[in-house]
Amino acid sequence: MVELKIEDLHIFYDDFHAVRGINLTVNDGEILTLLGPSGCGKTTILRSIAGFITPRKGRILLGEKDITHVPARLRDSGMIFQNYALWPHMTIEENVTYGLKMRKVPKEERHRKAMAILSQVQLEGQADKTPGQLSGGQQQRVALARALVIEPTILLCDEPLSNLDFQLRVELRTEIRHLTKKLGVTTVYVTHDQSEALAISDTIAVINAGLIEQVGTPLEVFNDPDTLFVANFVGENNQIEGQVTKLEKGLVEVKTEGGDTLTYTNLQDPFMEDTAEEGDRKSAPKLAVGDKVSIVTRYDKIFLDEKATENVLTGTIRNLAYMGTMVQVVLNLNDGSKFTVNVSENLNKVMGMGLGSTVKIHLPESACFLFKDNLRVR
Amino acid sequence: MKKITLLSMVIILSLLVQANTVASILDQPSSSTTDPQVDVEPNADIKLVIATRHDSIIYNKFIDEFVKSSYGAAAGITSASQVKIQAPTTYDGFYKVMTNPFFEADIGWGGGPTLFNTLQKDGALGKINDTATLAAINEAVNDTIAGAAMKSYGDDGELYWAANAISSFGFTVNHKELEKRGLPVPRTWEDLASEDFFTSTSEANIGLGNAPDTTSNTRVYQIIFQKYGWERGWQIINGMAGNGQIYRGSVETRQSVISGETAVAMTIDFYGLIAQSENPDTEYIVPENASIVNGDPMALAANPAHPVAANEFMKFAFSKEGQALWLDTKINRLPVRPDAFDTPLGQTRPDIKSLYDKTLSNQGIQFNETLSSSIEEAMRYLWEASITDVHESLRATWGRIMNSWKKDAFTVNRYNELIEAMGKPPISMEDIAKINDQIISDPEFRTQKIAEWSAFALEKFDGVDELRTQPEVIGNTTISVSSVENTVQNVPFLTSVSFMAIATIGIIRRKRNKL
Amino acid sequence: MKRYMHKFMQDPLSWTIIPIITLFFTVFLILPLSFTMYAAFVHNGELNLSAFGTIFNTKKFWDPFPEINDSNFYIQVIAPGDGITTIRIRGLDYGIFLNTIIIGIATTLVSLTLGLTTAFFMARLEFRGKTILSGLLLIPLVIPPFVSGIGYNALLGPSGLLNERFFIPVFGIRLLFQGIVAIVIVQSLHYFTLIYLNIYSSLMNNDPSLEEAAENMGADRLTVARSVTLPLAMPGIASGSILVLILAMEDLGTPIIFANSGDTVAAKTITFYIMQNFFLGENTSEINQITAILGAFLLLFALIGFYAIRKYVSLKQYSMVSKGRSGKFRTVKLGKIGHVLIYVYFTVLLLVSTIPHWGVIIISSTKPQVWPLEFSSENYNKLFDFENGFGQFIYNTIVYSFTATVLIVILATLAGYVANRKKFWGQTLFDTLVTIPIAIPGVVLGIGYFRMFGNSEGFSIGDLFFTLNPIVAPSVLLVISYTIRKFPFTVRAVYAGLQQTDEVLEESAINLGASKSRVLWEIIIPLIIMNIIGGALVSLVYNMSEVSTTLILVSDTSNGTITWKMAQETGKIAELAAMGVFLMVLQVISLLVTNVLLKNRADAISGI
Repeated sequence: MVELKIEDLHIFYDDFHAVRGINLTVNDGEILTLLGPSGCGKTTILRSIAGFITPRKGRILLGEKDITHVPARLRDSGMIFQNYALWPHMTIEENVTYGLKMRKVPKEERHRKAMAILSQVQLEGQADKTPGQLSGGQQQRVALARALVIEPTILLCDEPLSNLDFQLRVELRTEIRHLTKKLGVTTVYVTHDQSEALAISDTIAVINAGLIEQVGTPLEVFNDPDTLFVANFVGENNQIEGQVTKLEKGLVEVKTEGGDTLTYTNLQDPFMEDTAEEGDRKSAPKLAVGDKVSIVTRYDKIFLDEKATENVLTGTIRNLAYMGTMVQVVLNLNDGSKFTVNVSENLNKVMGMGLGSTVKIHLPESACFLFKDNLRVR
Repeated sequence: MKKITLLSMVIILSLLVQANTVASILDQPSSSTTDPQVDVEPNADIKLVIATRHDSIIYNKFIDEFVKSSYGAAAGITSASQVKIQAPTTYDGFYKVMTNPFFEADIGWGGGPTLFNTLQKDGALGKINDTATLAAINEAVNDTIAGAAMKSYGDDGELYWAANAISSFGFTVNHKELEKRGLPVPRTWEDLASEDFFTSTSEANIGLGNAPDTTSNTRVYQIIFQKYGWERGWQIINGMAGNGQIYRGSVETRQSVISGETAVAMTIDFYGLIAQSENPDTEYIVPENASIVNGDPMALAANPAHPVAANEFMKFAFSKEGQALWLDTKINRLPVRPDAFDTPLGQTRPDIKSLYDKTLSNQGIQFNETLSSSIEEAMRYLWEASITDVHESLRATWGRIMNSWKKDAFTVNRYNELIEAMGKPPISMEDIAKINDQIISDPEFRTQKIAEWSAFALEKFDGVDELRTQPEVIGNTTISVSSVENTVQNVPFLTSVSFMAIATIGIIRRKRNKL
Repeated sequence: MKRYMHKFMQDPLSWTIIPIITLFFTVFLILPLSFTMYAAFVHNGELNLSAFGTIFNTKKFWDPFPEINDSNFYIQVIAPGDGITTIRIRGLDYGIFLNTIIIGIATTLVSLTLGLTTAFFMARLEFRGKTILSGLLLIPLVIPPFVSGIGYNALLGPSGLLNERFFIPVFGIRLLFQGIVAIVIVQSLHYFTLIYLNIYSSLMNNDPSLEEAAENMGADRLTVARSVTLPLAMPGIASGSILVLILAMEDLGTPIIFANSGDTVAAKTITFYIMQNFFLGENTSEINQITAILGAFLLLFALIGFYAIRKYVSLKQYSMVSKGRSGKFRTVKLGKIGHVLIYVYFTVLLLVSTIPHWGVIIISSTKPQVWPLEFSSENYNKLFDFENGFGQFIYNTIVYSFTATVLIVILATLAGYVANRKKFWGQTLFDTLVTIPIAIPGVVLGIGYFRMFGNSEGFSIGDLFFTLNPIVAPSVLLVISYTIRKFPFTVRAVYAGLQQTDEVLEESAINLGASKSRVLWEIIIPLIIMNIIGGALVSLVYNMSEVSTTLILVSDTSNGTITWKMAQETGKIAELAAMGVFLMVLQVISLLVTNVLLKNRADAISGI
């Protein structure tokens, strides 16, 4: 079992600089997810690990071996594709044993291994069917079996669940994690669905425009975003703009564009040095009075509180949506911008509030993430 | 915007063309002048309908001049659009057109005496008894020319058809090729079958038309049979075929001598004239005392719908001016009437005049039309089966005879024996006449017979080869053929097969490797 | 009764169109073909099956183990002591029946090899100049087969340029390709493009992730091609091959060219035999039963082929199982040596497959028998000359083709719309009816037309409608036969257009009150007009170079078309070549326009 290391990876499509200097390490047995919006380069990175793309600069190391220029078929990786890529003219068993055949595994053993892996994905008995006869979820499980049966050095997953409906996605992502953990396979997983990333990964690397925004555990990424991008990408968030009006030791005062004043006492080093590097960002920029900052809040971490006095925004109710376990309240702030609060208590009372009524929203300090120029102010 | 322009252009163009087409289609192959833009409404008053096998160049010319002439005026026909042409392609069609009142046919014109004799027998022709017309015809046409009938009378003594043009059958030579190949100028069919016209197995000096594909060449062969007899006739034909190449139609045959592919080709006279105009090195030759003159008939339909116009047209076609039209540079045929050459147009064609004179002075053979009809169909298939279908073997065998003969490998006796063996037909003339009808009507029988005849021919050639290599005993001496000159080598089967197998395997492997 | 009236009123457009078109096709396609079958079984009014036996017992038709002799050989070398050595490469003569089958199979195999290799190279290799090459590869397609034979003869024929100016002076050898070999060569060089287009389209429509997955599993390029790419391309391969098989067997133009210059083996093909032995005799219009039987067999092969294609095309859903594409294809980038090899391959391929083009252009624009070549335009001057030249034929060709095409456009648009959008009993049958003409050999249809409309024995429809009687006036039937035979191209184009047009566009119009014919005229047609025009162009071009029914139906100069004239004067190569070049230019223009309009859809061009 080996670790995967990516050093300073640069990939170009003709003149387009798609991957702009990525450094990553995936530990043995770990599941690392590359998370990001469409076009951010995550699939490109994955495909370069697979060997379908050659980077212009940088190295990919599998254990001690530099595989950057090794042909795809010799990298001993198992890949699952978004559209399953099952060969329609072969049976399920033939699909699954293809990789074994390439590795010159004798016939009986191939059959045995195929049956074993198929039962692991609960598809024993389907061996003689053709992919066209299976459902989407079943097909993806076959794809998984095919990739795992060869006991690959590394498992690569290219948005494997995007074509499935919600229920199946939830079901299968658990299965994938379960199986890979059971077999101890190092995995790189690509997705644009943040809830999927959060559920399936040991580590998440958030990618944007060819660069890493943040690498961390799901907890870190969700609760402690390094950049504005990550904060907005993960979870459901509001973002408001403001300007620093007062700066003292232990106190930062911000005035929002809507005219509300917010104060923060929990920021540790507002005066720390700016140490951002390309390809690898660390947050903690320096603040000065007059700086423009963005404040990001999660829908469910803020409250409607008539009695609040500090860190309060005023808004008028624009829409109320009852979602079962909560009520989603969409408000207009003073400057007309939208602001959403997910209220999970006193639902009836909240539902009874009329459209257009004015309310006060309390933003607890712990619920706010402050950003200057995309970097998190801690 | 561009797409719409394109679309409108296409639509407008097609509408224009279509309007034109509707007019021309509804108005069936109509006579037209040199400008084929049909300018006639579908319901113009037709005053004359002619059924013809002649080419459009011919009938257009005649109609154009007719309309301008006094005859046309007398018929009340002032525009070519008032004359309609039917061009049926089979006997059946011709018969239908001439007899079915739907077509309102008045005149039948061109297609050969055989066709018209049959039409006459079947009652499709009407009697020509208008005095003025008869006078015009008699002025123009004798009852016979060079021994061949130029008019046909019925049992009732009435005139049913008269020849409006004549043709002979012979061959066209290419002088340049004859010189180049060291061949003499042939005078008759036998010359063509002799060793003088053999140069090598790979060079074809004579072009012959496959009998079933050409009526004019068939006529030539019928002439040969009637002049030389059935057996000798076949010997000559085999000889010519041995010296030559078979073509699938009279035009192709003619073309072969024009292009120089062959030095001599069987042609009807006016094809020879066409050849002469296309290639001045060529010349049409009427074989001495070995040809016939065919009269190409014109007749009335059984019940002409417009008898007045019909008669006027006939008078025109037999008049001096009408006859001269055959001499047009694009038509090139012999008129039946000698004083056509005295017209202004006629005087521009001394070449045709000299051919005309030659034709008339040539003593044609006595041609028995009944006999030729009685064997015609069967003979054609026999021709194809024993000559065309086995032509390579024929040529190879003939080549061996010729090459050996040129090296004096045997005596004249043996030579004659070989020629006789070469030409032996599988069936006698009497017998073939007996099966002629069945050949026509029964395709299975025909196929069987053809197969039989081809097999017979191949065996015959084998026999000839054997005979040729048999030593001759003359008195006390024995002459034997010196080492057989096998100029023809067939790459052995095994070699060919192995070559192809290797090639195939190579291709398959290459395909696999490329993948 | 009321129910039917009601149903009719719901959609008068469709319920008028369907019967009309069905009737049209029944009368002018189904019935004539039945008459052909009838003529194959009946002689003199009686059922006669022994004719079948006769065919198989006669060597002329059926000779599976031919004896090698002076007439029958693969390669023959004639070496006289002095003079030119002649090398004839011919191939054996297996009899008319088998010859046609062998020609079909051989042409298909050769075309398949060339087409498959070319398609793979173009689809999976990367090298410079690929775009230009893809345009150049369409060139072999723009020469009608007839013209192709002429051009080939002009260069490689017995008195062709290569022999006269090169082989004989330099080597003293005359090289002759004859018989089956010659026909297969000429046909393959033309038809391989069809297979190439089909396979190429198939390969490009494959899901690239299927190949990537195989590579990921450890397969090298060859194994990927063999185990994944090739099987998935089977629909394209199969349909292309079968189409070529049908076209090769029913080709009349190529055998004619060779047969008329003295090649007796080339004459022993079913199509040629049918043309030469059409009627039982000079004096009757009864169809020769043997001819009809051969025609029936040809028809049978074609129908089987057509059915097989349809089955394969329905299997095209094969590659639709995996949805979506995850990137471009894995192509192999060629290095220097690779580039050289590829260029050599394509140069040879293009040179050889454009031999007919060169032949036709050279022979039509230079003075004959003059060396070195001198240019002259005399043959082209003759083109539009109505008196002496070919003006009449060009005119006729244009008139017939355009009329037929206009008919096709109108009927095919209506038929295509109805067949595609409306669900009714017999929809598949209707669809088959309008697309099957592509598989119907022209000579067989010709037989049927004569039997049905021109028969002399007893009654024939032609007696009622003389305009339809081919013996008397072939032009109307000719236009109808063009319409029927080239119908599928436009129909397919219409289908393609409709597939891309969402039904909701019509539904919203209907919802707002439009009748179906209004929808067709105001909504559908404007949307698919490009497809219609493209399909019409393809039909038009094929109409103009149609050979088989033309030769059978027309026998008078005044009705002649370009191809008809070419068949009459096969010796006058130079002039025919000029006409051929004219046809070629027309085809090139229409191909370019179609390309732009339809974006090179192989199925529209080949009509499957």
